[in-house]
Amino acid sequence: MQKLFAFLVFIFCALTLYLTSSNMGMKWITRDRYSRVGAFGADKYLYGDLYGLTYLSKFKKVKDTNFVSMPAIDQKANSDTAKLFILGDSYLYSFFKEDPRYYVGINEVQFIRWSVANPVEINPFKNKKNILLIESVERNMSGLFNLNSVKARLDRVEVAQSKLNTRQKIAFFTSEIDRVIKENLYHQSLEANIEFAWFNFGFWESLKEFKADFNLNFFGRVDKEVAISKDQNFLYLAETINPANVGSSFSDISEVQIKTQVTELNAIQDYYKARGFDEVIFSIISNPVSVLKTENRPDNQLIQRIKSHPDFKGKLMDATEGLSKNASSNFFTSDSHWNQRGAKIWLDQLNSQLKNSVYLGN
Amino acid sequence: MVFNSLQFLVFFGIVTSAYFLLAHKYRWALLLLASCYFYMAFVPIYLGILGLTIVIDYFAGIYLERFQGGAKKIFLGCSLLANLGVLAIFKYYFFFTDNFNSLASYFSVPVQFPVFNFLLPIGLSFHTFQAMSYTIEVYRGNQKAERNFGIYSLYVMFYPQLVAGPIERPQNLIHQFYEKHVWDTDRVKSGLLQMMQGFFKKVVIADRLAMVVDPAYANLSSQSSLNLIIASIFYSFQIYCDFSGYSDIAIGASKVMGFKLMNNFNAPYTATSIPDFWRRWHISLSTWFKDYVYFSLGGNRVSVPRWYINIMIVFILSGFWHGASWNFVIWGALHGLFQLMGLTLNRVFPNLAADQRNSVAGIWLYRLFTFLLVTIAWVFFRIPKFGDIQIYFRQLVQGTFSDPISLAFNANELLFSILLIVGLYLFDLKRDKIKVDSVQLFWPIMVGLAFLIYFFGVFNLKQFIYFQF
Repeated sequence: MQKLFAFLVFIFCALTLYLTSSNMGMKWITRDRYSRVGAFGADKYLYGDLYGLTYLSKFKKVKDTNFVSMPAIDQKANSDTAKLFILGDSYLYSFFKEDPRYYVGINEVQFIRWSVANPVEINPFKNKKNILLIESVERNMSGLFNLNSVKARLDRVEVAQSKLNTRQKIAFFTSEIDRVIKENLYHQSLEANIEFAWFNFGFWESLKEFKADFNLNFFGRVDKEVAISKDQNFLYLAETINPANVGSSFSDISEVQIKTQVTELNAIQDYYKARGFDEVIFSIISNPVSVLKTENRPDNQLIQRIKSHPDFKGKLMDATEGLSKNASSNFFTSDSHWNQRGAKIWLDQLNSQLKNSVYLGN
Repeated sequence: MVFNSLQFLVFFGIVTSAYFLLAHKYRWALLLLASCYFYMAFVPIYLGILGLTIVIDYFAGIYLERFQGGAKKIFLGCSLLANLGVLAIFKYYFFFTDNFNSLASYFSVPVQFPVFNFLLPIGLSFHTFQAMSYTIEVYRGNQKAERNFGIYSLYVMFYPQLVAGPIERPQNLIHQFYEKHVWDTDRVKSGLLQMMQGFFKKVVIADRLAMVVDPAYANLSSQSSLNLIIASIFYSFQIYCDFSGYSDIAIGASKVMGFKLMNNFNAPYTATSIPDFWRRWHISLSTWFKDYVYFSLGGNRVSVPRWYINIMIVFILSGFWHGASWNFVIWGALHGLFQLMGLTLNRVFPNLAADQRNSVAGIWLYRLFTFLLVTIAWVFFRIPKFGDIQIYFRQLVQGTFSDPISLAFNANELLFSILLIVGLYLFDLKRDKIKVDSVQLFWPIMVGLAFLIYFFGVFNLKQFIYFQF
């Protein structure tokens, strides 16, 4: 009897480890879980990623997970004109397919995520116009918008062993061993994967909501990664609210920091233009709190200050103004992203920019 | 791999069930492999460092047994040198070179050592001390040299106590790897209950108190005196629950498989004196220092001044064991001083102390005073920079009593935390009478604790404080 019990525990735990340690296994679990509704369906992202962190019942809002619909077809877009390389985040890849028909004048798109595990080598095409769009949400911008960070994603470089001194070689060698062992034995998202596999079921939902509501009503706190807006209508990522975080809309950013950022953007543009790109477009997407203005305090105007800086010589796409019109209808209330309407506003603005770039050469 | 993670639950399930499914002769190999996997989850390459000291100590043990006289001493010296050398490089090199270079600059001496700040292997001090206790015991003739390299490796690497103790002695642990442990339902239940207690202490109490302690200590200059008092008391209980919680999980996980590890805590805040506190706090380390350092220095069988010096040496070394930083040295020295003050008072007023300890009020007075001293010493343990320690005491004596809710808690959570602390204290006071690992009440206690852990746990995968040592 004890042997049977031990055997069952072994099978259950070993199976859990096997499935949650492999991307294939997690894909299978995720696909299966999201294909179901009710007690055996998954609830984590169905109602917004911030609901999935807090499980506050008030913010359980079904999220539209369809892609943004195609924009009106521009006749000129059918011609073979340009390739668009996008280095971007979930604000784009969660809402648009990698489909050139979304973009005016573009007949080929390559999307590279900031979270890319292995850098890719991108090369502009000789017979086409090549446009590089580098996008990030405001909260991550300062860490990503610098030449080293961009090169780390777009310029795969093999480390030349011969150029390293002995100490560097040892450091490189040991870190490689560490990396290989870690990659093969411990999936980098193992903890989150096990949590998903064991606890991301509809039948846990009421328990999770009860705990979350109790914590909010009795202890006055929510998950530390999340904050509730002052008007109680939106969930935000806490890092975008807390001025102590560099990505916060309310962090104190000096003119020197703005100038440093501008210098970085110029350096990125110069580098990739020298590599053969016809145009480099930057896009910083405002933190939702910067647009929704729920906190009754002035934000740091980061995007506007960069855009208007006299030393900035690039193109910076800022959709804040468009998003601010009827702002609350452009964002999910329980998700860190905009909704389809918000995404469409950004896309329209990008397309007018592309129209200028591709056809008018501006 | 931290104990308070789902990864550990899966790992524990696999290893424990496989342990009982496997034939006895293969079990040590399973545990050794599992321990390697457990350790490599932190920084895989550091397994190599651990392996190196294991090889040296393994052969040192065999040669220690084979030789006598001077040669024996040389082998012991080699083993201790190897262990302390690893500690010196990884833990103390930066401290010594940094301090030496600062002094050299101050006195305009044109000598500067190159400064490297190595990443400290997790739990280095723990497994190094455990390895050293092996060679010392073989040298003393209390332990036979282990011939099975795998078993010796397992003695150093046994995963439940690998990174934060209890620091075991070879006489207690090695023979257990040879014993055949059969499934004993009562023992399994008792081990699981102890693990649950450990999880409760860690995620419900320690990590909850950390929500107040960490921000308060991170921003000392903006704290009121009251905030600092609350944060300091909370820290005393945070570190207790954090570390004793780890020990409970380690001892419980071992017990499930049939291993008996030494007890590491015994209601330390019910101590009525500093020596009493050290008989109850981190017992495996304090007995290590007592057995291998204090007694070697002559203990109390020497003149009184020499005895006092011995006590100070042990406590300063104990502080230094915790970290290569002056604040740990001061923390250790403070405990030594408190102990000397107590000894002196007892010698000057022997009757007074005995009389007071016989009354209930007197006992409580002693408990309170001991707790106060320990809490003051923890301030030096918690704050690494002298400048910040100054700020702490400056803010503390200002006598400002702003709303403590400006800490990270609202009034309800503050009250709840205090209730948890009181509950823990009462439990510690009556721990001999309360049988929480009573297997008859297994299911009610298990389900109750699981419920409380889920609802009141703070799940942030916060590492155990003692991992850094």
